[in-house]
Amino acid sequence: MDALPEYAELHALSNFSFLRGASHARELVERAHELGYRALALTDECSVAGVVRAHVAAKKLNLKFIVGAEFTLACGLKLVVLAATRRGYGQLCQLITRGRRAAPKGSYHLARADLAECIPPSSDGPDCLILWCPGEALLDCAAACLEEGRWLAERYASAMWLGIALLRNGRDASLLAACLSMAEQLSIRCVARGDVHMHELARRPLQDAITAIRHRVTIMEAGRRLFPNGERHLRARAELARLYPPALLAETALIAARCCFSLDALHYEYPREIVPPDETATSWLRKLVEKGALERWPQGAPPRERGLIEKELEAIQVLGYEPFFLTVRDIVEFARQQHILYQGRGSAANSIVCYCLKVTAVGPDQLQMLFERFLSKERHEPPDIDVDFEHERREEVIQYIYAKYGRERAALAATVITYGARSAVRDLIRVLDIDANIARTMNRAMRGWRGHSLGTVHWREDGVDTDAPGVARLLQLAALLVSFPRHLSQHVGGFVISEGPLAELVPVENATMADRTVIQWDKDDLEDLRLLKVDVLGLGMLSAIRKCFRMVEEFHGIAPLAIDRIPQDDAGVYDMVGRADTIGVFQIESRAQMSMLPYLRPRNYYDLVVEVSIVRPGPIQGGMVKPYLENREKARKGIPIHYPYPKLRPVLKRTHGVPIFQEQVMQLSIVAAGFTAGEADQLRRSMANWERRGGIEQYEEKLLKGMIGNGYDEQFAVQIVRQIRGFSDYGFPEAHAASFALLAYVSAWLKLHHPAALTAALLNSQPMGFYQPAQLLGDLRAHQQTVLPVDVRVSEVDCTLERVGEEGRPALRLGLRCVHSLSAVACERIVAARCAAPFDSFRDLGDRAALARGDMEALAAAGALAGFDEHRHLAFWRVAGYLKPLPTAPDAARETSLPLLRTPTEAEDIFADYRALGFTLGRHPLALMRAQLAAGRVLAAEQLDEVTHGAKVRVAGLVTARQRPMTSKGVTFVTLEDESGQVNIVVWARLGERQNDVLVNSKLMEVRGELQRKSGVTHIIASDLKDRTALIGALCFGVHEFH
Amino acid sequence: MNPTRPLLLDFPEQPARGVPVRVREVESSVLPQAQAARELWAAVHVATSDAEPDGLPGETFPAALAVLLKRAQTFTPRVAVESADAVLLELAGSQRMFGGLTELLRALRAAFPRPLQLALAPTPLAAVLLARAGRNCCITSPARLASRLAPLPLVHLHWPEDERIRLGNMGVTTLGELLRLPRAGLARRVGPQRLDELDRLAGNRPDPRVLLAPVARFQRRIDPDHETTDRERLLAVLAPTLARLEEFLREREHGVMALRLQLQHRHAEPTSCVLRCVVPEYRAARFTALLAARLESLALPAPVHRMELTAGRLRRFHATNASLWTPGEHGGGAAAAQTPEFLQTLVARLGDNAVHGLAQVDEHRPERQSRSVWPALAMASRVESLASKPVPGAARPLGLLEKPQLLVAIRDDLGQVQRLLHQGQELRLVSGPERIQSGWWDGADVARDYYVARTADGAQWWIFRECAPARRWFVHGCFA
Repeated sequence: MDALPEYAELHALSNFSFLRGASHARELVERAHELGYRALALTDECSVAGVVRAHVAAKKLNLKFIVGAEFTLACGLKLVVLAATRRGYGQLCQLITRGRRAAPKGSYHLARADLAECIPPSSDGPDCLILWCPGEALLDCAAACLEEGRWLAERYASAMWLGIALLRNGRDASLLAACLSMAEQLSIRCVARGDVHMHELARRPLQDAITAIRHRVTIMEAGRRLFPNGERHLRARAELARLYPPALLAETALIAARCCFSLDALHYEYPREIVPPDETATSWLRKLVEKGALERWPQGAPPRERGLIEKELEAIQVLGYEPFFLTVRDIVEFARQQHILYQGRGSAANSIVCYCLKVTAVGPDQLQMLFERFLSKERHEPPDIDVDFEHERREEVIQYIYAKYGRERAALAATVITYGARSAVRDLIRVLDIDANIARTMNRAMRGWRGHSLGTVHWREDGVDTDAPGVARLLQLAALLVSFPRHLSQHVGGFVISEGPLAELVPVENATMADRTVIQWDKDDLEDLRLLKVDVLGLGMLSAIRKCFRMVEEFHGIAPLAIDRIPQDDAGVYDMVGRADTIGVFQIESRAQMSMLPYLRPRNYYDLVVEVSIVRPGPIQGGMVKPYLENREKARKGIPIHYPYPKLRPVLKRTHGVPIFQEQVMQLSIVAAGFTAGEADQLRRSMANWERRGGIEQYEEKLLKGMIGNGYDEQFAVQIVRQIRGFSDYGFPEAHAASFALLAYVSAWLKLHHPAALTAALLNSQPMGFYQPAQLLGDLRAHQQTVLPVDVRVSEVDCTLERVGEEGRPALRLGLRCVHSLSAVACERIVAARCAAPFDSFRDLGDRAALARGDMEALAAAGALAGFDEHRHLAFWRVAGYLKPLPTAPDAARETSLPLLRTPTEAEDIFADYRALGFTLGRHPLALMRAQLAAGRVLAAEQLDEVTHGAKVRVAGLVTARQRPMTSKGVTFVTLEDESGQVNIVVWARLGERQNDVLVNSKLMEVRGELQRKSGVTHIIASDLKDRTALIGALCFGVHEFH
Repeated sequence: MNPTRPLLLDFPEQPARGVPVRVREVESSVLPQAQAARELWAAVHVATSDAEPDGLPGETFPAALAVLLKRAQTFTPRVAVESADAVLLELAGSQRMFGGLTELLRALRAAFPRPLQLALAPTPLAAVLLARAGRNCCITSPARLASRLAPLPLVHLHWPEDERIRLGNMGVTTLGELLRLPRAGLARRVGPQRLDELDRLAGNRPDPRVLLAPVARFQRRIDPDHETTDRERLLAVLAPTLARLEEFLREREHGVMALRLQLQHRHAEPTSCVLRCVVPEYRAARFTALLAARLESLALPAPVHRMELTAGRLRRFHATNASLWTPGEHGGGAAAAQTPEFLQTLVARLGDNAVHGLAQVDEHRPERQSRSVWPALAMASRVESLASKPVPGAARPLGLLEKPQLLVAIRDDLGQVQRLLHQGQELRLVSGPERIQSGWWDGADVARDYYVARTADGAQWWIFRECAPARRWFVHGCFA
């Protein structure tokens, strides 16, 4: 072994050089380690997006890792820049930033001047090392190369090498000679490089395929755009020794030794302006917390809370996280001033410090246990606070951040968009020249996939012969291509803010959205490097709650409402929730939640927290619901719960012996399986991000062994592991659940006491939530509330409250915004014109509000002109002939005669409503067809109550929701709505595939199937679907598609 | 005077599954408007989604349409395509031929069985609408048309959906309701062209249609006044026909790529002589010259008593002006322009199989870097291949062996190759290796290390060793 030369690969691309590199960064690192390389540099093209992953992998293997990047300047000069020092790394990031910012997303543009400016020659030893890579151009156009080399050598002679890649293309000998002579001429040194595009030779087909994808040609057409051979992989040192003179190989190790920068050296400095000049961060945070505490407890904080405050402040100080809390506080303070509703969540959010800083509204009296799990000094985990803002006003917050810190210092984290099974197969079909028929079949089979993995597709059932050589090859390649990054997108709201220019920490590039910039790392990268980020997220329910508060205040003339001023523990709210009367209520309105509510029957806030968390795929799959219910029943009756292992009692007591939150899983692993706090944290991370961290399988055995070793029964241990596995897909941290539960409670309280206002607010915040306006309004009317139609004479832009009846009850007046295809500008002009004087005719409306004919038609179709004409047909005829008045002859456009148009039938009115508004205030369309349906033995939803379990039934209804959760193995859940209620349909994967068209396209669906009633939940297992859309003509309304 | 251009449908006898049929314009004619009042139109409608018409299983529509058109042309020369789902036949003149309307209807039904929809009406639009609505009926009297159309829903008009919804919002859902509206008001709301359409539907306005022309093909039989084997004589007999062919092609601004001359003998199998051109050709003089060249090399077993000249498919042709300058003069008449003629003559003389074009292929695998093609293709790709970069760098022999030949490798005890022998001579490696690994996608993956090697006599060979374990040596080419 020792006879082999030392070698460090200094030029290697990962798949973050999109459609060039054919290996993951991790694979490169692992392979380099296997081959006994001295070091590996990852040099993606104008990118360091992959370096954190590589760094983490290299650290695990104790392989030296070098950060670098490859560039081709606009003039054609190609080079690799390696970061030798922290300063050099900053320069590299600056260079990448400059190139990326100067070009549209996905490309870069750099001139020689940029290079010279970003990487100045340094006096005290070079910060960046440069590998000049002229390649074969040296043979073909030597003069140009000489000029390039001179230019570089003049500036970077002491830190520059001529990188020689010998790739067995038949010209190695002459290339080597030319390089050596060129280097001599310029008096620079030469070094070997591999021009690596893949970690092993076996990736050659994939490399060829992605090359073809990049050039948008089939692989047969790609010709010499492909590499002639697979030499661009990490080659064994013995082989390199055969190709390169020993000096060139030895030089690689010397260069590697000169690169002493490690990503671990990155320190993150939070901005300082959040602290006044005469304060330290610590003292300022303490002051703000004290001030907040006084507002929360005007008589002074109770001793327990006092103690917690001290404990938390101490932890924050030890870890130096004050600036983080101050930054978050600064952002929410802005929102408070602007009256933007917000709510903090995340592991660190539910702390007393956050409560005092008004980041959160969940008080310690409601959530006693959460404070145990604040920042942990041992775990050294960065604090995690996500702040939700009103979705319609989040942009204001973002702009505030940009304005305050500048674009140089604040940017969004990236989200790496990767190949999914479907996109991988689709791209490969294009380049592999698959037979057109097979391609069509495959595309059809993939229809409706999303987030499916390749393995779960039933190719054969869809008629794809997976053994056909072309197809088998395609699927093999697709399996490799899946999870390859495709491009960087912006994270929904993760901001990184720094004290110095951000571009010295990580490159910043343009996002698709104008005026947005993203850094090249995603949130996991940030987490791995322990860099802090603040999540600024948008939440529709917050918009709705604020709008509802304002409406209620105005209508009743009461003092301003706020989330933390809503009366707690309103028994009426819990009664309503227990009846599953929760349409429009945050989080607990989904079908799964509603079906569980009658069993869970939450009676207090903490029950709600549990409710929000337990009706998740994780806990449901882990089989936790039933034991939880049983134990809680015992607790309510005062029967003690038996804990087989008393040590677990403190961990599980608050959830009646059943682990429901991620935090409990962590504690379990520590208490029962003897995990260290660090390991438990790893476990949590792998639960949260199994794709990147490899899932919890790696911990399962350790958990089992640990628990059995600690004297736990094997069966018990297996059960716990199974429950933990359930979490790996979806599980809620308790802190998130607590914040969500609060919003659920607030929205439920509003629904109970101010139903019309809540519905109006929800309608005014669309699109959001689980239900369409039709369902929201239907539910409101089912609660004996009045809904008034859109009327151009009274409606505002938004839905509003109006007084009706003698006692002045609030009624919901639909706003002009409900009218589809009426422009927002037109809405505002109508309201403005009406303020001046009421409209006396449709012509007056059109003239004064300067409406286009299309706007008028939209109003007429929606029945909003009902005040002017006797019926909708006539109104529409009139406006359809409306012409803008000519200034010279205002009456020329008038028509005198009216045709005899028939009065609309009830059905026509209803369907016109659906087309124009998406809902109707008339009867439900199904009511019109009931006689016809009944003749076909179709039952109404309410009739199902009388049907016994297992009976064969037929039902029909409007399709209001289709869901195919990823965990459901291809099962689709369909909700049908008729005039008497909702029916839940379960469509197994097999049937769904056979009747895919009907399933996907029906607006009115008839289902034959078997009624099943399990623990009070009724659904129908479909055996046959029928598209009855024809019955309702072109009834047009949105169908909620969930995946 | 000549507003409409009929269509020629160009389709094979048995349309291939799913192959769309190209429709192209060829010739013009016009429908006499005076007849409009007495027209009788039949519409055949294919419901594209659910039903597949009899005898057309699995066809995608355009090909099915071609079949319908062929059948339609057996009833009347006046056939038109209405839309992707309907074919129109004008049958006023065909009634008598079929012995009356009843017989005609019966024949139509037989030719267009259900689930094809068939409707007859005095106006083409009415017939189409009735067929689309599934009203398989025959309305001959214009007076009864309006009442029969009235109950039809608007959807069959194939107007844009939003227009239909607008009309629905006015309470107009059937043709009857639509036709009842005041004309001025309607025009204001749906536009005058819709009104025009309704007028054509009701027969209030003429509705000229673009008719299909029969397939154009040139085929002639020539009987020489006496049987002969004299080629000169045969060509002379052919001359007027070739002149007519030129006229035929000129009129249509088309050329042909193939011409078949069948020479029939009384006591022998006919001799067939096929001319293939490199570019579409139309000139009689060229045909004569090419035929002369071809006939010269043809052995005639017996005297010719009849000739049949068949022109191939018509191809669009861009007539060029004869160059002003003769070759060489003022740089006029680039050699390229002459190449087709030269090639054509060469092909005519030597036969189809004797002349090949050589196309360069963008490929790494040496044996696939060139490929022989029909000269016309080589012509087409000529410019490109000349301009494409030569493979940079590594040495390539001009000639490659048809198949690589195994070399004799003499190995030592450890399996190391000591000597390589080619045709008994020892090879010495001059340069290399050049590694070529490519072609995994078509089952001919190669992985080889190429070297240039020399024998003692100075000959240079291009040899390779497999990268795969057998690691055999082959010779693949020879340097000049």
